Amino acid sequence: MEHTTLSHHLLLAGLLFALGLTGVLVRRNLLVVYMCLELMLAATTLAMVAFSRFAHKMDGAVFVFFVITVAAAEVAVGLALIVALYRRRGTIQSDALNTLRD
Amino acid sequence: MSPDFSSLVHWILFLPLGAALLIALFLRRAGAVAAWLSTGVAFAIAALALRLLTAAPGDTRWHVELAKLGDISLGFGYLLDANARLMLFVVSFVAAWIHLFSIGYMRDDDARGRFFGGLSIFMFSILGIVVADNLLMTFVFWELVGFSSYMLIAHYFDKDYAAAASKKAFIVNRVGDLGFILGLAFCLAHFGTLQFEALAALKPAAGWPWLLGALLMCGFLGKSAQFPLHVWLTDAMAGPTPVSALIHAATMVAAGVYFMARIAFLLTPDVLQIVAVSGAGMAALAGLCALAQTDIKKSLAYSTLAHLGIMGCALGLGRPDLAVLHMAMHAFFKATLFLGAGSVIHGCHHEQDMLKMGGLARKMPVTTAAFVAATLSNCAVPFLAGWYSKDAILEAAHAQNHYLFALLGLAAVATCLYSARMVRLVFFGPANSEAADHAHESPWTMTAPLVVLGLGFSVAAGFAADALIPAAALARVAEPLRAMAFHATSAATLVGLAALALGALAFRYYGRTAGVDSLRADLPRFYGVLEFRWMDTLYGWYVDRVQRRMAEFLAFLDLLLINGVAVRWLAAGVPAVLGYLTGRTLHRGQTRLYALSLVAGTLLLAWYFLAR
Amino acid sequence: MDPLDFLHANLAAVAVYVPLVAGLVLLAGRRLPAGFASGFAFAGFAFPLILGLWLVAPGTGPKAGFAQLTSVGAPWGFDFGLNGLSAPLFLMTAVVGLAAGIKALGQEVERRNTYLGLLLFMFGGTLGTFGTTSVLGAYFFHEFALIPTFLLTLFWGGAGRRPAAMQMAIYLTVGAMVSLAGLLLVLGAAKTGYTSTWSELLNTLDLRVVPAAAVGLTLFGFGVLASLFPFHSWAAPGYTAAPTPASMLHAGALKKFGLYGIILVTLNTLGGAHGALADWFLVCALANVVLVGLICLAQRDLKELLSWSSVAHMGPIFLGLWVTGVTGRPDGVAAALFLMVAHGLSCAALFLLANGVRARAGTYRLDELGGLAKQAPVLAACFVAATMASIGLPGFGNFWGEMGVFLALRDQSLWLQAAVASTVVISAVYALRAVAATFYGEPTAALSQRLAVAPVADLGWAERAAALLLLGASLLIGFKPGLVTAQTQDYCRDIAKNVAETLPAAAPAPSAR
Repeated sequence: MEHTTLSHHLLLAGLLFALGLTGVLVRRNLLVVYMCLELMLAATTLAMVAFSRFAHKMDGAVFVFFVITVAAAEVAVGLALIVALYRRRGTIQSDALNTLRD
Repeated sequence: MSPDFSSLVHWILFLPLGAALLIALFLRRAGAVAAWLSTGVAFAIAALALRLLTAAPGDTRWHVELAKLGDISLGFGYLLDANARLMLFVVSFVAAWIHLFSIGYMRDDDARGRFFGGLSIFMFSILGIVVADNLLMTFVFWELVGFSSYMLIAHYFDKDYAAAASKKAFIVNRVGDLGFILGLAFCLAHFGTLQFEALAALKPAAGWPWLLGALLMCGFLGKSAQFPLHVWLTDAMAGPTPVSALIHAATMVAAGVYFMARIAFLLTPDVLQIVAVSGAGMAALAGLCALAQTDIKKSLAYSTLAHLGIMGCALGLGRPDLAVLHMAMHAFFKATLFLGAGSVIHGCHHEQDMLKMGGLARKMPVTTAAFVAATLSNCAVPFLAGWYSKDAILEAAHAQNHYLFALLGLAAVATCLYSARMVRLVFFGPANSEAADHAHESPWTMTAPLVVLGLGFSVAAGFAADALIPAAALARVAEPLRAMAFHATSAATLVGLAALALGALAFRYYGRTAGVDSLRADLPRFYGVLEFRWMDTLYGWYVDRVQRRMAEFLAFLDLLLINGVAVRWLAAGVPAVLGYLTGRTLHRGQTRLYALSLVAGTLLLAWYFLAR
Repeated sequence: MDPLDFLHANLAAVAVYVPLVAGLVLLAGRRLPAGFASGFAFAGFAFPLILGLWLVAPGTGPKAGFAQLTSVGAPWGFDFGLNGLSAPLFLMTAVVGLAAGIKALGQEVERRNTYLGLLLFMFGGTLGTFGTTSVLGAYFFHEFALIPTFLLTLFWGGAGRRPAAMQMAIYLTVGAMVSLAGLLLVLGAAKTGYTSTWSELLNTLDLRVVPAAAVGLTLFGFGVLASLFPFHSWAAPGYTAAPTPASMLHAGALKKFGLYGIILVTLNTLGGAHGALADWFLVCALANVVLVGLICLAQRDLKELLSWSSVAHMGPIFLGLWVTGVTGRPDGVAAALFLMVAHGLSCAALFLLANGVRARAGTYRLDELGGLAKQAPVLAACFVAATMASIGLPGFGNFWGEMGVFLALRDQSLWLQAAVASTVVISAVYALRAVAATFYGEPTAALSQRLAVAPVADLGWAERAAALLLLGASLLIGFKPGLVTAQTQDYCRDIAKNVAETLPAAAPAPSAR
C-alpha cells in the first residue's frame, strides 16, 4: 500500500464528521446526540493534526491540545447538565424538552 | 507700569474672594465675624482703590495666559486706565459703606454668613469687570456678577417671589449674554484678539462691523436692564435692601455702562442710534412708571431704570465720558436712596408700602436728611452731584437730536414728580399705619453710610469733586465738569429748572390726601396703564403658552417618534411581527430541527463561497 | 531600565487592576464582615486616584511626556500608559470613581459586598478603558465595565429598572457592536495588526484608505454610546433607574468612551474623505443641543431632568469635535476634551446630590419637593454649586469647555452659533427651575407632613466629602485651566494635524489671521 496522503486523512475526518452530524440530526436521546457531537469534534481534531503533519508546522498540533483540554471540560459540564436535566424532568428525549418554544 | 501697582490690583481683586472662601468654609454659623470680615475687606479695598487713584501711575497693565485651548488663548489681565481707576474707586467706596449699612440692617438675620459671603463674591465679580483687560475675562466676571446677584436676590429663598425673582434675573441676564458670547466669537473670528488695547489699535480700514457692536450690546442690555431686557430689575427688589443698593445703584447695572464705555470705539453709528433711542425712551417711560408704584423699593427701581436710560442715551450720543460720570454720581445718590429706604423699612418693621408710611421726618431725622439730600441730587438741583452729569447729558442731547432731548426732558420732569411723591408720602404728613407711628431711627452702622453718601457725596461730589475725588483721577471727568461753568441760558438748564418747579407742585399735589395715591384717585385709567407690567406679561405669555407647550410637545414627539416608532416599532416591532408569523411554522421547540437548519445554512454559505 | 522608571511605567496598569482585584475579592467573599469589606472597597476606590495624581504630578513622574509611561511588554495582558488625551480622562474617572465609591459605601443595600464588588469592577473597567494604550484593549475594558452596569441597574436600580436595564443593554450592546465593526475595518485598513496601540494606529494609518463605512459605523456606533441624538433613548431611563453610584460612573466617566472613540477614530476622516457624514453629524449634534434641551424643559422629575440634561450637554462636546473634524483646527477638540472632563465631574456631583435630595424628601418629583434649603443648607449649597457648574458658570471647569466650543465655532454661520449658544439660556432655565422647585419656597403639604414625622439631617460627612471632591476638582480646573490644557494641548494639535491632512484643499486652512 502506498504512502498515505493528506486526502486520506481528510476523507476519514470528513466521514467521521458526517457520521456525527447524522447522529446529531436524527437521534433523540440527548446522551447519544452528545456522543455524536464529540465524534464531530474528534473529526475536526483529526483534520487539524493532519494539516499540521503535512504542512510541517506545529501550530495545528498545539491547537489540538487546547481542543482536547476544552473538550474534556465541556464533557464534564455537558454530562452534568444532562444528568441534572434527567433528575429534574425525568427524560432526556430532545423532543420532549421544548418548553422554551413560547 | 511698575509691578508694584499690579500687585495692588491682585490684592484688590482677590481679597474679597478670599473673604468669601473663608466665610463659606468656616464662618457660616458665625454671622457677626463674617459680617465684620467682609466689611473690613470692603473698606480695605476702598482704601487700596483710593491709593491706586491718587498715586496715578498712568495706566497699569498686567497680563498672563491662563491656558491655551487649541489656538484660543485664555487670557487674564488688568488694564487700569483713568476710567477704570475712577470706577474702581466709586464701586469699592460705595460698596464699603453698603457693607457697613448691612451690618445694622441684617443684624437679626440668621443667614448673615451666607449674605456677607455673597456680598464678597459680588465684590470680587464686579471688580473683575472693572480691571479686566480683555473681552473674555470681562465675560467671565460678567457671568459671576450674574451669579452673585442671583444668590443675593434669593436670600429670602423660602419666599416664592424671591425664588422667582432670582431665577428671572439670572435667566434674563443670560439672554443678553447669549449675544455677548456671539460677539466674542465674532470678534475672535474677524480680528483674532480679544484684548481691548490690541483691538483699539487695529482700526480696521472698512470700519468696525456693526454686528460686533450690536452683539456685544446685548450683554449691556441684559446687565444694565435696558429695554427689552429690563424686566428683571424691578423684581430683583425681592432681595434685602442693601443688595438692592449695591446691585441696582452702584455696581451691577453700572457694569454694563462701564463696559460700553470701554468698548465705545467698537460701536458704529447704527448701534449708537439704537442705544440712544431705546435709552431715552426707557428713561421717560420708566420715570412715569415710578409714579404708579406703592412699594418704595419698586419705585426706586423704576427710578434706576430711568437713570440707566439716561446713561444709555449718553452712550448713544457718543459721550461715554458723560455716561461714566453720570454712573458715578448716580451711584452716590441712588445708593443713598436705597439705603435710606432700607433704613425706613427697618424703622417701620419691614413695611414697604409708601402709602402706609408718612410723618417719618420727625422720628428718623438723619435718614430723612440724607434721603432728601439724595432726592434733590436725583432731581438735578443745580450744583448737587446729579445736576452736573444729567445737565451735561441733556446739553449733549440738545446739541445733537431734539427728539432725544424731548424724551430726556420728559424723563427729568418724571424724575422730579416721583421724587416729590416719594418724599411727601414717606416723610411728611400724618403716619398712615401703626408701623410708621412706631418708627425709630436706625443704629449708627446704618446712619453713618447715609451721612457719608447722602449728605457728603450726593451733595458735594460735583462741585467739591476736587476735594472729594482726588484731582489726579479726574483726567477724564474734570473736562466735562469744568465745562459745566453754569450757563443759565442753556436749554438744558431751563428744562431742568422747569422740572424742578413741577416737582414742587407735585409735592403739594400729593399732600392733599393721606393714605391714598392722589394720581390714582384722579386719573385711575392713566395710573392703571402705568402700573401694568407690559413686557412681563408678554414674556409670561411666551413662557407659559409658547415655550412650555413646545417643550412638552417635543418631549411627547421624542417619546412617540424616536422611542416609540423608531425604536420600539421599527427596531423591535418588525422582528416581533416577523417572529410571530414565522414562529408558528419554524419555532416548534425541536432541537433537531434547529440543528438541521444550522447545517443547511452552513452548506448554503459554503456553496455560495465555493461556487463563486 | 531604571527601577523607578519601571515602576512608573507600570503604575497605570496597577491603578487599573487594583479595583478589579478588590472587586474580585468582594465578589468571592460575599460573607466578609461589613467593616472589612468597606475598608477593602475604599482602598480599591481611592488607590487609583493617588496613583493617577502621582503619574501626572510634575516632578514625581517622568518629565519627558506621557509616552514614557507606556508599560510595553509588561505582563498585564494589555499595554497601559497615559498620554495627553487619556490622562485627563483617566484622572477624572479616578475622581468620579472615588466619589461614587464613597457614596456607595454609605448606602444601605442588600448583598452589599456583591454590590460594592460590581461597582469596583465597573470602576476598574472604566479606568482600563482610558488607561490602556491598545485599541481593542480599550474596547474590551469598555464592554467589561458595561456588564456590571447592567447588573447593578437590574438588581439594585430604582423604579422601572427592568425595562430600563434591558433598553440600555440592547442599545449599548448594539452601539458597541457597530463601533467594533467600524474599528475592525479601520484596523484592517491600517495593517498594524489587531494588537495595535492607538498611537501606532494614528501614526501609521494612511487616512485616505479608511473606508467610508468605517467612519459611519464608528461615528454612529460611538454616538450611541455617547447618546448622540437620535440614539439617546436609552440614556434618560437608564440613568434614572440605575443606582446612584452607577449613574455617576456611567454618565460621568464611562460614557465618555464614545467621545474618546470618535476623537481617535472617526474624527480623522470625518470632514475630508467623507464629507456628507459630517453634515449628518452636525444635524444630530445640533438636535442634542436644541431639541434635547427643550425636552429637558418638560421634565417633572429631578433625576429624569438630570439624565436628560446629561444628554443635552453632550451636544456642545459633539459640536466641538465636529468643528475640528471639518476645519482641522485644534480648538474644537481641545475645548470638547475639556468639557468632557468637566462634565464628568459636574454630572456625577449632580447625581450624587440629587440622591441626597431623594433620601431626605422621599421623592424625585419636582412638584412634590420644595423648601429643602431651610432643612439642609449644605446640601442646597452644594446642589446650587453643581448646577451652576453644569450650566457653565465661570470658576467651574465646564465654563472653559463650553466657551471654548463656542469660540471654536467662530467661523461658522451666525445662525449655527446662535443655535449652539442658546444652550446657555435653555440650560439655565431648566436647571434653575429645578433648584427653585427643590430647595426654595415653602415645602409642599405632603413634604411638610413627612418632615414633621422625620426631620431631615443635612448632608452627612461622607456625602459631603464626595461632593466636595467633585466640586473641588471642577473648581480647580476652572481656576487653573492650564492644568488640563498643559496635558492635552500637544495631543489635540496632533489630532488636528491628522485631520487637516485629509481635508480637501478647498477647506479653510488653519487660521493665519
